[in-house]
This record gives sequence, C-alpha cells and structure tokens, in this order.
Amino acid sequence: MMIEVASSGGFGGFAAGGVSKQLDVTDADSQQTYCETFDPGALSRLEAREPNPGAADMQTYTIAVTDDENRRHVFRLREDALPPEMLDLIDAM
Amino acid sequence: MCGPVHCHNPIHCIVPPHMLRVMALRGDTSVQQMARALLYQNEEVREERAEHMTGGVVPEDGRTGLFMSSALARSVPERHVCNRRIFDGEGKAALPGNPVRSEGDAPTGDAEVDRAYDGAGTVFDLYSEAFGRNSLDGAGIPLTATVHHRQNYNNAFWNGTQMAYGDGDGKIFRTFTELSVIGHEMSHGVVQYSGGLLYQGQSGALNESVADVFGTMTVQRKLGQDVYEADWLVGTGILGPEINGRALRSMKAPGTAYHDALLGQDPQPYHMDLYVDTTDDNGGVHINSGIPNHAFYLYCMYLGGNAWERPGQVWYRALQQINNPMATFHDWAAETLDAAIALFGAGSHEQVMLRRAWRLVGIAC
Repeated sequence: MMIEVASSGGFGGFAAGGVSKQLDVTDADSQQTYCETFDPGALSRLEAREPNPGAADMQTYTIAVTDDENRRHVFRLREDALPPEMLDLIDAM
Repeated sequence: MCGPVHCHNPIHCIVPPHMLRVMALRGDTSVQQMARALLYQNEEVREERAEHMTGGVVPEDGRTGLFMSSALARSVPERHVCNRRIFDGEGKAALPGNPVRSEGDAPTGDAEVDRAYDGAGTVFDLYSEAFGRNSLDGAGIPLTATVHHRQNYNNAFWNGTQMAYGDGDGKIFRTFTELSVIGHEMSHGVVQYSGGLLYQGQSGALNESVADVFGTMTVQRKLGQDVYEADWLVGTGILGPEINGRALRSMKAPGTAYHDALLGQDPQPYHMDLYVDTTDDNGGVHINSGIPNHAFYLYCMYLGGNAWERPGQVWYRALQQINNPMATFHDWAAETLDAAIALFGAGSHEQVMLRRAWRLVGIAC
C-alpha cells in the first residue's frame, strides 16, 4: 500500500506552506497502524462529512492511497475532518 | 442530494445545500443538528461541533423570522472579564493539548505561550473597549488557544471553538503568534458569532478581510498608531529568514507583500478588475480579500485618525447587521454604507468618503 499526502491553503492561502509526502507502507514500522488509519473506506467516510462552517484558515489535504491491488483512491479533505491520530501519522511520514 | 430511498422528509428535497450550510452555521442547536444531519446524509454530527457552535444571532423581540447579532441584542451592559486559556500542543495534533497558562498566571518563559496569552488579551481589549463586545461571542466566552500545534506546521487557524498556532518550519514561516495573526484568528471567531460569512468565494473573502481588518486594527491600537503611521501589513515578521517579503498581506498595497522564488508573487488584487476566479483556496478567499481590505485602507486614509474609531465602528456595525452569510462584496459595501448613515447620518463626510473608497476598488454602491 502506498500513501501520498499533499496539503495547501491555510492562513497563507498558498500551496508552498503545505506538505508533500509519500510512504510505502510495506517499509513502514507501523504498517498495521497506517493500513487501518488510511483505509480507503475510512477516508471515504471522512470525506463525506460536512466541515465546520465557522472554521477558517484550515489547510486542505489531498490523500491518495494505492492499495495492494494497485487501485488508486484519491480523497480531498479539510484538515479538521482528519482525526488527530491521522495528522500525527502524516507529520511522522 | 437526495435519492428516492432517503427522501423521507420533504425538506431533504426542498432545501438546497447552501441553505443547509447557513442553517448549520446560524441555527439554534436543534436547527444545526437537523441541517447537519441532512448534509451528512444521516451521518451523525461530531459532538464537539454541536456543543460549541452557535451562530451568534438571536430572534428580534416580537418580530417573527427576524434575527439580530446576539452581541447587539444585549441591552444591559455587563462587566467584561478576559479569561484566557493557553495550551501546549507539544507537537501533536490533538486539541487543545496541555494547559500551560491560565488567566492571571505569570509568564511561562515559553515565548509562543506568552505571546499567545498577551496577544489574546490585546484583542479582547480591542473588542471590549473600542466596540463594547464581551469576548468573541459577546457573552464572555473563554479565549482558548493552542501553541506548538503539530510538527513544522505552517499554519494558524480558528476551528470554530479555539485558535491553534503552529511553530512554522523555520524556512517559510518562523512563527504564527504575531499580534496581527492572533487578531486575525480571533476575529474569525467574532465573524462566526456575528452570524457568519460562509467560507467560500466572495463571502469567504469577506470573512478573511474582516479578520485582516480587525487584526491590523489590533496592532495599530496596541502601538498607538493613527492610520497614517500604520504599516497596514498582516503577518509582519512571520515569514522565514530567507523569504523575500515583509509580511503575508498588505492592505495598503495588495499584491506587494512578498515576491519570492519559493512563494512567487503576492497574488492579492486591489481592484475588482483584477478579481481572481479560482477554485483553489476556497475560491480565493485569501486572494480576493485584498479588494475589501484595500477599500478599508482607503476609507481610513480619507477619514484620518484611528482606524478603530470611525472606520472601525462602521465595519463593526456592518458585521453585526449584515445578516447574510452568503454576502457578496457589493452586499458588504452596501451594508457598510448603511452603517455609516446610521452612525454619522445621510450625506455625512463619513458616508461620502466611504462610497468613494468602494468606487476606487471597483464597487459602486
């Protein structure tokens, strides 16, 4: 499983302040954790949620997951839709 | 949005998503829950949102269907008490983190913590003393902020409940606890509790602009600067040491805050002829905010004095009165004119100069 994460926006409004990371989970120490956290089904449910309408300056994340059958799933989520555990894993990538 | 299987309630099919978002932003608890339930297609709303979100509008006495800002609705003056709660995120994403400084506590020695604390107090004072507003919601809500949010995090935000500040990666950004940024983020809270401006397109750019206006006003009042002495910059000193730029945005000269190999050119326009149509950045909310930002700057130049006095009073009253979360720039300009008339009279210098300022950025009203 391959995970690609890119972020943009936020207070600055531009892409340069964001991150661009990728991880081959087969090489990761916490393989099980990454697989569960970035499961396409879970990401799909997060993507379907309506973000907090009062929030401002949030970054937007594009997360692409390529599964073991080589299917690529792409999700676009605002950062407040992502659980803190997932954000910590992204920071650790 | 609704298929035949799920369409048990007529409101599913009648109410368009943009109206549901307004209802989710501004309704009372039951209306918010209903709207979100529809938006989520029967998925449950996260509990913390339901607990903390209020739209900041209340029904006007005896007038069915009419609403006003809850801050303006308070007829009895109340004592304003600042209640700051600063947390250390310790590089993690969970909010709010560990409490490190509460109201009245001595400085911690952590510069980020102490700047967030002091800055929150300065913003509170601006709203309390210049605008008669008791905290972000007009009802004394505690000011909660988290510093050291995440790792190398290049952002600061308002999440509907609290402020969060990253430390930056040291390359593009070096800090976010600069006073105009703190004022900006807290003012997003004021916008939310004043009825809200939906964070997309022109209404989103107005949300951003109001945050910039009151953020710069915070700095000017703290420094005792009149409109001619102020630098009109947002985010002075937050860019990394190698970045070629003075700040993140300039209200005096939108489009000139930075010019850098990594960041490119500051994209903000100063006139409607240069309005940027884009799907990025929620429809360019941080880009096109340059237009109303510049209108405010021009208005201040016409009036002179302090920004938080006549110009600020007009902007604040317009924010409390607009009652339109999907407002366009034109709607906002018209609302500021109404505010100028209400405060200073029809045909007043303040009204005439305001119309001139809006015309100079390409908005006739």
